[in-house]
Amino acid sequence: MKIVVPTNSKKGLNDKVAEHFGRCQTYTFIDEKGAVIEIIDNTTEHMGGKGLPPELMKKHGADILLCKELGPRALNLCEQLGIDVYVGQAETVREIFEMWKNNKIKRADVGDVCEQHKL
Amino acid sequence: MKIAVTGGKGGVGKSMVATSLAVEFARKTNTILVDADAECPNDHLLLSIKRKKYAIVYQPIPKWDFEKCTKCGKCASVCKQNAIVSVKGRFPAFVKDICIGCKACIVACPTGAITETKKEIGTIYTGKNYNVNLVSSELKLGELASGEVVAEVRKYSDKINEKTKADIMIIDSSPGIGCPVIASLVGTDYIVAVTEPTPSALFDLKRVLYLANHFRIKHGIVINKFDLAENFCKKIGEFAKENRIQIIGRIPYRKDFMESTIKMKPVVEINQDYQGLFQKIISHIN
Repeated sequence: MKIVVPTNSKKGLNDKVAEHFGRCQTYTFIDEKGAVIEIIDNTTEHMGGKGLPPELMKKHGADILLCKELGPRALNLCEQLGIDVYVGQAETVREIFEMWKNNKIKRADVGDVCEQHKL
Repeated sequence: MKIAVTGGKGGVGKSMVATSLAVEFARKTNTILVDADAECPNDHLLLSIKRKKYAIVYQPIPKWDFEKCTKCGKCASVCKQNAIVSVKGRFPAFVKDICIGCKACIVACPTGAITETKKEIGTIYTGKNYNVNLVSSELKLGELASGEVVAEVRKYSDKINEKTKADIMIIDSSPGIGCPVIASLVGTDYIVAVTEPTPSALFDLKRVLYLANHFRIKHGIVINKFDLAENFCKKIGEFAKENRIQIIGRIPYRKDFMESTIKMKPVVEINQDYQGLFQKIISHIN
């Protein structure tokens, strides 16, 4: 199982969870035990590249996404691609992973999407 | 006769000219005004018209039959909007909001798994005041295909006009030279290009008149707020002379125009002195 967290550098588990799910520098992939698998650059259209973040994540095999917030379009696309999304407020990758592991994080639904991105 | 009012730059007074011309035309002729600025329609405000919903505009979007889909990803590779996302081994995912309805995916699908369905992209309204029949288009918020909405409002206005039988149809276009403007200009008999004496307006005017030439539609220039920079008007005059385009009207900068917008009344009703000015433009068009 691959878990992805939006981040802004390549510090692994100590990295901060990015504020913005799409507009972030990197995506950190970890396994279900909390070990870092890979850290990739965000090459999507949010950063001047091509493609959408859920697409990039799924191409790298993501099954679960842990983030602070995301918009309804992104959530819908994640659902279609079979990525389970959880949203919670945590400082670091390690913290948000622990929250997920201990069931202290909420499965995202349309009601959770961030205010400014509501349709 | 179909007359398009355009100009390239925004804020030069296209809607003011379109509504004033419509009111003046309507004094003698049965007139229909089409607000083709689907992104920000205002003509109903300038003419104090309470619009009534007439029709909903839909756009085609694809729908997948996953029993037939082989996950080949061809639909995603032909989608220029990147509205279709295909990840190896998975059925394609679709982002409805960015789809503009080009149907390339339907053509590209080798197994015929994609059929057509639709989404709402805009609304068409009608109303009447000052003897002017108004058909107004409005794009749904967040949608992209304003050109499609304008093309639809043109079709609907032709249909409405089978009943109203207006001799004059005035089409008020959006600024720019893109899809919605092209959809406003095609099939018209005359283009009124509204401009103002500023370098950016002249630059944009040249671009929109290039379009007019491309479609081989007769056109004339109206300089709005001409007395703000009479020196610059000479430059517009030179351009017009070089390209043999007639300047069919010069409108001064007066507070009446502001008052007209605030009071939601056409300027020719606020101050009747302007009636002659617009009648003169009408005689040039004829």
